[in-house]
Amino acid sequence: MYPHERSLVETYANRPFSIVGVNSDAKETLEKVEGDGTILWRSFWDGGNTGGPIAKSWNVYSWPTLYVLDHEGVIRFKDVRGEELDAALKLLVAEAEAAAAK
Amino acid sequence: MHTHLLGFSAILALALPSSAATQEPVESVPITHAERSQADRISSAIAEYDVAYAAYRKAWGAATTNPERKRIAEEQRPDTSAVAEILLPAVQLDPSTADAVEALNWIIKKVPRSPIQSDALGQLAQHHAGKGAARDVLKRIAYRSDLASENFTQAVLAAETEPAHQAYAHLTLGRILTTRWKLAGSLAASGGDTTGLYVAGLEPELLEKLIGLDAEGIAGLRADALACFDTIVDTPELAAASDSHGTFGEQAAPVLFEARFLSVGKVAPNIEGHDSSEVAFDLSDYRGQVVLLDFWGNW
Repeated sequence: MYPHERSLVETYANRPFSIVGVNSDAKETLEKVEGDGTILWRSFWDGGNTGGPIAKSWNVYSWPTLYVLDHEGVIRFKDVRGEELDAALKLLVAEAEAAAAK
Repeated sequence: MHTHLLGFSAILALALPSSAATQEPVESVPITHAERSQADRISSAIAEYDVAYAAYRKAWGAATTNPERKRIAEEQRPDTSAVAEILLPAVQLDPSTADAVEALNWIIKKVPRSPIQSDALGQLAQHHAGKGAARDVLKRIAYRSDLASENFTQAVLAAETEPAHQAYAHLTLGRILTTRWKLAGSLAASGGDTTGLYVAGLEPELLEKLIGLDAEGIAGLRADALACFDTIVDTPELAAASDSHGTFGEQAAPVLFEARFLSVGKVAPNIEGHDSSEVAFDLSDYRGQVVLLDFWGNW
């Protein structure tokens, strides 16, 4: 997942797109992968284990679980991967830029 | 050992008719497996299986190539269904005993999803649905979608009076009906093609019914599933009851939250939290941008 996500960060640099993580690791682990450049996006730290409050309330039982939200915060895709994810982001970023240009 | 096991079940199946045919006028029938005590029959069948399985694992472990392993698996892996064919008649002698429970649980655990397994579930439901005895079985069947599993869970619900056992049965029923609802959705999407879908052990009549469902029918399955979780949340003594995973209210609520607020087309609920540097931020801070919300861990 990481290389694909890093490439997304590059592809959509300076465009209306962000990855927001909800991380279930121990804090030291999260700090390490943030510090060494493995992770280039911000994450909520969810308490250090998979039973954290955010994952729990969102009923997340498998990792990674992905939601794709549009610029209005609407859930548009769930658990898309690979080319499907690329296509979804292309569509939604174009929508966001069209809305911003109005 | 595999052939030995088969021989054991063959003896059981043939002993009575053949002895009856050859010794018709004699009053006393020779001792057969059928006359041994229930406990003896059950424990020896399971012990014999364990020996056969250990021998199979040993042979498998000694194999050095994949074709060899495949051949050993085909030739030596003991057949759990054959053991079940010995256990079920033994259970019939007196389904109320602890030995019967052990045998039924063994079948539910070891035999692949099949009519034999459904039979065992039915007998366990009929004779042992209450007293919290069913928890291990509920755990095992929680993500199945077949009628035997549903009926077992309904029998537990009817028999249990303890809130914690009742709540766990509601949770299990909700999970079974959720699996069934999602299966119906997948079948609708595939036009009834079951390729790649988990339908092993599903009763043919149920499968046929699910394939024929329209959108309204599928929505009905969803409502049935969610109603189980609602029952837990809305019934104070069920919501407050707990097991090692927390209160049942806490376990049921996220399922309802996901179903009601996290489907495609809904505005995502806000998340308020903080990052690894203890800086607070909200998901809604990102409004105006496309967001890939990624629940992740570094494993």
